[in-house]
This record gives sequence, structure tokens and C-alpha cells, in this order.
Amino acid sequence: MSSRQFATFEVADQLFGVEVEAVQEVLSYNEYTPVPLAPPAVGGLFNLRGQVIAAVDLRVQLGLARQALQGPVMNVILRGDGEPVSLLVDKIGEVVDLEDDTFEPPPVTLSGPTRDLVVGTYKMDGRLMLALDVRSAVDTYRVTS
Amino acid sequence: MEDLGEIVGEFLMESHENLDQLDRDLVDLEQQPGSRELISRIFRTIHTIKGTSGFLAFGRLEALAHAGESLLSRLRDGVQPVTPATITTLLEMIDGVRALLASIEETGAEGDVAIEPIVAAVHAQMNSNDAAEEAVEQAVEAGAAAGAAAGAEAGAAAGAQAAAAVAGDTASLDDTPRRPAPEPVEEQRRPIGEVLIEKGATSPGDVASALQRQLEGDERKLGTILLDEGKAAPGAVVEALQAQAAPKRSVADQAIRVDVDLLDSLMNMVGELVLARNQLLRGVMETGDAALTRSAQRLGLITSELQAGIMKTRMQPIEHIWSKLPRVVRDLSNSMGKQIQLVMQGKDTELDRSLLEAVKDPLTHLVRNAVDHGIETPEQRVAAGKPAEGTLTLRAYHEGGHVTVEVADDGGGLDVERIAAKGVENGVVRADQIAQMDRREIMALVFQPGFSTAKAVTNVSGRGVGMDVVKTNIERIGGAVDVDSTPGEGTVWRLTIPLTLAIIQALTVDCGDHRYVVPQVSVLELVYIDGQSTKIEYASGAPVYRLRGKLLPLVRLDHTLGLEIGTDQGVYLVVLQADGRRFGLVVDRVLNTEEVVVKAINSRFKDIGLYAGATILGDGKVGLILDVQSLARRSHLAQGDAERESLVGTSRSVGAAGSGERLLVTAVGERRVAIPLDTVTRLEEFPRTKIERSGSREVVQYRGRILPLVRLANLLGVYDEPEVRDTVSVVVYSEGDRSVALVVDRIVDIAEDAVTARNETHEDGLVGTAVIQQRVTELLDVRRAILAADPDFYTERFDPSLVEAR
Repeated sequence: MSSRQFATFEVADQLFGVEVEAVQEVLSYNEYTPVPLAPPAVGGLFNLRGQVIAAVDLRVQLGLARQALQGPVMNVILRGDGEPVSLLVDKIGEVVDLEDDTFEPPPVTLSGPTRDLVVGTYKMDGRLMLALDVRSAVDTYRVTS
Repeated sequence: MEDLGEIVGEFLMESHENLDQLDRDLVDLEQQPGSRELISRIFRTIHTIKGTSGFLAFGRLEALAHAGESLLSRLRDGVQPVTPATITTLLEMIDGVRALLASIEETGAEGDVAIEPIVAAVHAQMNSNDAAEEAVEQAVEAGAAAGAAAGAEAGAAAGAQAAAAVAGDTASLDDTPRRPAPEPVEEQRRPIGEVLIEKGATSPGDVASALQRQLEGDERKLGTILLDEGKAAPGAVVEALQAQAAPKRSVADQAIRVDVDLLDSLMNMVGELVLARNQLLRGVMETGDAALTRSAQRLGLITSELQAGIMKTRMQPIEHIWSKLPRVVRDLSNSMGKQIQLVMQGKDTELDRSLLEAVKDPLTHLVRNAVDHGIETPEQRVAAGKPAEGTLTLRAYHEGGHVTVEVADDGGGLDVERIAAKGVENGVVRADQIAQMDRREIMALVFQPGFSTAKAVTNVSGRGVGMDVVKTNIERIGGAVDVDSTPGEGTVWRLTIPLTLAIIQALTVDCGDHRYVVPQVSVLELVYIDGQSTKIEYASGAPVYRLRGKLLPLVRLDHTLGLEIGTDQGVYLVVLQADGRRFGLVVDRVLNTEEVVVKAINSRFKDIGLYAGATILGDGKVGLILDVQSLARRSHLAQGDAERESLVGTSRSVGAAGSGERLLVTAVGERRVAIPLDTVTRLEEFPRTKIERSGSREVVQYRGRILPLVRLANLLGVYDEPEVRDTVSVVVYSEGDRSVALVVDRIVDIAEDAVTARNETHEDGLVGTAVIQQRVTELLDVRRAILAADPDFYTERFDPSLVEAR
């Protein structure tokens, strides 16, 4: 039985996960430079060891209010296509091994922006983890209603 | 076979470098036919190519190199003199080698490059001189004479150098080339005087006086004179002689090839190191351990130096792109029957390699242009009282965080009148605009697309493309180009180039809580607005500032970025020039100028059209670099002015496609007033004395009729002191047999009001305001003005279109 490793994190008390291969690193950062006139999902830019990284506010992507960006905020930095992109999340969870047979497609009752961002549900002990579609999660031009 | 592929690759790379050097050496050799050193070096290089190509079984290449080598050996042994014809043949031979190498690089085989004609030409050269023994003898004599002259000149040069050293101006050492050679021969021995001065063994004054003695006939050697007079210690002179004799390290010993990707990755790693160092420093400071703090600070220093060093590895001397130019100048001037000496100054000036590549073509174009159009033929030059040989000077130097590269010729200079005429002819500018343009503005017309003044179109330049491409290419890398010229004395083309693409001079500004970076190259000046003596004014809502009497359109950064609008007091204007426009950017605070490292940002953010990139600010935060060009474009669109003022300030081609109406722009006091051109019949100037009075109105006699006048200044309520002139400018409007004249201070321009976002005003006498050529311009209510001049004007015939005349 094959299994996959997921890095998990929470946004608005919901557990999400992305495959560990897609994650470059996880860190908390204080200072974000806002980008006026950028899409609302762009939380800001920050300096990762001399590299300028765009932070995508996952809350906005999920149709929620923006992160306050005051004090440290957790970043899940994804490798992206050629350049890293960061996802701003509420809380970092553990790295978990999940069996493929715990996977199910998203429930039909799941709708709204979240539906577009997840590829499916993993049934864990006592809670559900939504597996994110990395590509859509960082696409700030996706229409969020 | 893979090993062989690598060997071939190395051979190609090495040969390409050698060929460029060969070109230069051959051109030098033509200037100094007596230089055995040059011949030997050329011979060695060709010999190496021959040997390697034989080993790699490139038969045709070997045969060609062999032919060249044979000719060179005759030159080396003095069997045959160096003539321009031999040089030409040798250069052709090198072109053949180059073509073969290119074919090998592309296809791996020699291909069908025709070497036979070249080999035949080389042999013809050798045979033609077999018969001319006399010529050889003459050449030997000439060579000896040249050698002697070179010796004498070396002495003189040393004198000049010593004198220069006295003046404390070592930079001018290579500014006065005494030799006809375009650049001094590297391997030439350095004068002993110079070596001694450098070692501090003697003073420049002593060397100068010793040289003077030599010139007066003292046959002793310089070192001997100094020794005999006790001006230098014997040990020092011996040392200096050894230093003089020691060969310089060859280029191969000094340099190795490094992959650029490796340098880039080193650069990134150093960046990380800097960050780690900063964290470490903070941590160590907290512990308060003095010894540890010292080590940490030392680490900090080393890191900074390492960073600077790695930055430097990407820098290359401009010589890299200059090296091909002597050949270009030689071939071109020969083909045009011109005599041109190429002087290069500051060839060690360094630039980032990516920039060097970008500058190469524009520079070559400027050089070709200078040879083609700049420098006259020897006959013309002699007739003008100048030496038959023209001088083309390439000069590179650092200036204020930029590198300036000049291409200067001592030719006839730019013909301003011809440029103006050509500009009008090609529709780049209008005739009436020329009168208001100064020399430099007219000269700048040559950078306009579709402009060419070449009397005859040659294959060299003058196809109407070129100068505008030069400008576009230089501006693309954040540089600028301009031209200055003195009639009869020459022309200087000046390229201003940023040091690197990665590092720019930038102004940091604050807008609200955020910090932004403005590239310094666009910044003209800064103005502080205190709200009292300097203030922002509004022309129907559009912010403007009177900069030395002219209205400067303003762009509020906070507004543009969609932030909260701040106050108008205690703010700064950053006066910017970009894309041919000039405007003021209103920011809250100006912090400082610094060098920032440009970081790429995701193209998505570039698409917003406001940011050119990002950078890491001193506090480690990310700062956005504003894209001044886009900002200019965007802001002016927002104000409804889609027109683009061209570089020369006012010129715009009239009759260009556009749905808008044409407006006559006039000046009334400080204000600009536009009148629809189709309501204007004539423009006239009347002598002040001709104005008479009829009741309360002013009139003039005009074509047998009485023409009522109305002064727009009075109508519009401009109470500025009118200029007292002998004549008045009037705009005559006629309909049927009735005419009125509107008195203005000055006719400014004719503009096309293509896209208008006008503000309707209800001010007396106006129908609104518009931004025309970036200036707030009021649109005259023509009907109202006419009625003011002649209340009965419309009583007989009423033209409804005039009611709405805008």
C-alpha cells in the first residue's frame, strides 16, 4: 500500500496539506511589503535570504478576510515553477504519512472558492485534511468571489 | 570522440580570442611597420592555429594558416616590407580563418568556405615582392628609421610622463599619444625613469632634468645620468633595470575562464552569507562578549569584501568590445578614401558583462557613422585648414555612478540647418517649431525614428534606421544617449550607461507608511513644497506646479497607488523625465540616494505597470522600484492625455492620424489658451502704433476695413503686466465680410487634441480646460470672444456651429 507525505497547516481551523516535495521550507516572518494595486490575494513581498518572495494570502484565496500581517505570520514556501512562492497560513501542523486508501474526492457539498483549490480529502484520525492543488492555491489571478 | 569534441571547443574559443587580437595587431602593424615584436606575435598566433588545426585534421584551415604563416615569415625576416596591401591580404586571410572556424562551430566540419582565392592572394603578395628587391631595401631603411624614431619618441614620451607625474596627474598619461599607434604597445619596455619614480628611488623633477640633458645631446643613458649626479642609489637603478627587463606576465597566466552560472550561484551564496552574518552579529551583541564581538565584526568585514569581490567578477573592461573597432575603422576608412586615426582612452573602464553585450552594437554603429558621415575626406579637411588625417576618439570613464562612453570625431560637425530642414521634410517636426528649438534640441532630432540626413545612402549608414535604434537600445538598459557638436570642429556622441544592470543608483522615498525606490537616472531635481512660497496648484482638479514659470504636471504617488491621499504641504516633488515626458511625482518624504541591487519580481507584478523590480532595503525589508516610464504613461492616460510629447519638447507631427481637432495654442499672460484652428482665418502682427480707438473699442485698419480688436487678457481677466512690444500678435477670425481680431501675447504651437478629458468650467470666456502637451490649457469660448469684439457679429448670419466651438 503506497502512502504519501504531506506537510499540513491550518487556515481558519481547517487542516490543509500539500505534498512535502512541493515545499521548500516553512518559516515565520514579520515584515511584508505591500504591493499596491496587486490582486487582493497578494499579502506582500518579503526578503528570503536576499531573494524577493511573494506571499499569497491563503485566507483571501479561500474567500475569507485578509490576514492582518501584524507580528509574525507563518509561511509555507512552495518551490513553484522556477521561483518560490509563499502561502500565508494560520498555523503549521505536522508532516504526516497518509495511505492512498484514505483519500476521497472532495465531498459534493463542498462548494465556493475552497472547492477550486482542493484536489481531495484525506481521512485522518478524528479530522479531515484537504489536499491543496498547489498551482491554483498560488494563482492570485484566480477569481475569488 | 567526446574528448576530441571538447578539444575542438577549446580550440574554437581560444582561436576566436586570438583572431580579435590579430585584427588589432595587424592594424597596429600597419601604423608601425618596423615593429618586430608585433610581427612575431602575429606569426606565433597564426602558427598555433596552423598547428592545432593540423592536429585536429582541419586540412583547409591548416592550408590557409600555412599560407599566411609563409607571408608572415617573409615579413619577419625582412625579405618583404609591410605595406597596406600586405596588411589587407593578411586581414582577408584572417577573415577566411574566421569563416572556417564559424563553419566548424556550427556544423563540426569546415564546410565549403572558399579559401583558394585567399591563398592565391597571399601567394600573389609574396611573388609581387620577389621582383622588388629595391623596395625591400627601402623598407629596411625605413624600418631602421622608424625604429630610431620610435626610440626617440619613447624618450619624449618618458619626458611627458615625468612632467605629468610632476603635475600629479597620472591619469593623463595615456591621454597624449605621441605615437601614431592607436594604443601603446603593451610589451614595450617601460621607461626606466618611470620605474624609478614609481619605486620612489628618485623624484620626477630629477628625471625630467636628466631627460632634458639627453635631449640637449648628452649621450649617457638616463640611469647613468641619475647615478653620476647622485640623484639615485646604484642599487635602485639595478633593480629598476631588472624590473624593466622582466617580461610582464602573459594574459594566460593572469586569467582563467569561469562559467557565468557559477559566478551567479556564488553571488547568491554570498547574499545568504551576509544575512547569516547579520543574524550572528545581533546574537553576539546580546551576549556582550567582547572577544566574540570582535571576531564577529571581523567576519562581517570579510563578508562585505567577499561580496564586493564577487560583484567585481562580473565586470569586464570595455576593451572587450572596443577590440574589434580598429579593424572596423581601418576597413571603412580605406574603402572611403579617408585617413582616420583611432584613439582609445580609458579602455580599462569596467562594465557588467551583460551591459557590455548590449552596448556593443550601438557603439559600433556610432563609430561607423562617425567614419562615414563625421570625418571629412582628406581634401575637404585640408581645404578647411585641418590635418588630412582625422581623429576618432573613443573615451570611457566613470562619472557619478555611471559609465560614460564617448565617440568623438574632429570632423565637420552636425549641420543644424540641414537637420532642421530634413526633420521638417520627413515630418518629424514642424517648420514653425524649429524657430523655438535650440541647437541641441534640433540635433536631438537625429534620434527620431525615420530620420536620416545622409545625402547619399551608403551601405555603411544612412538608411534612416540607426540612431533611433541606438537610442532605443541604450535606453532599454537604463542608459541615455545625447549628441553635441561644434560646426567645423567635430561631434561628440555620448552614451551614459549604468554600471551594472543589477545595481542602480536610486532615490528612496516615502509615501504614507511605505518606502519606494525611484531610479536616479530619471530624476532631474527635487522640490520641497512648504505650502507657502512653493505650492501645488490645481487647474480644474489637475495638480500642477510652477517650475521656473512653467507648469509641471504632477502625479500624486499616493493617488496612483490607490492609497490614502495625503496633504499638499510639507511634501516633496521628485521631478522626473521619462519617455519624453517631464512630470513631478508627489511623495511625502525623500530619504537618500543609494546603490540598490535590483531583484527580479514576478512578471505578474510587472504587469501592474508600476513596478520595475524590487530591492532589499537597508533594514532588510523589500522595497518596490517604481517604473518611471509606466508611471508617466499611466498617469497621463489617467488625465486623458494620450498624446506623447516627443523628445524635443514641442514637436509633434501635424496631420497625424487622429480624430481630434487641431488647436492653436497661444499664451496670454501666464496662461495658455487654445483656439480651434478651423475658426482661425489668419495670424497677423500689427505695429502697436496702428491701433486706433473707436468709442470704447480698439480697432485697426486691415485690408481696407475696420477690424475690431479684443484683448484676451482683458476678456479672461489676466492682470499680469503685459510685455511692452512694438507689435501685437493677433488671431484673425473672418466670416463672410466680417472679421475680428483676438489679441494674444504669443502664438505658442499648434496641437492636435486627440483624446480629451476636458473639464467643463463655467469661467467667463472659456468652455473648459484640457491638458495639451502636458500643460493645462484653457479652451477659448470663441463665440463669446467674438461677441466681445463685435457685439453685432452674428446679428446678420448666425452660425450655430460656433456656439459649440470648443
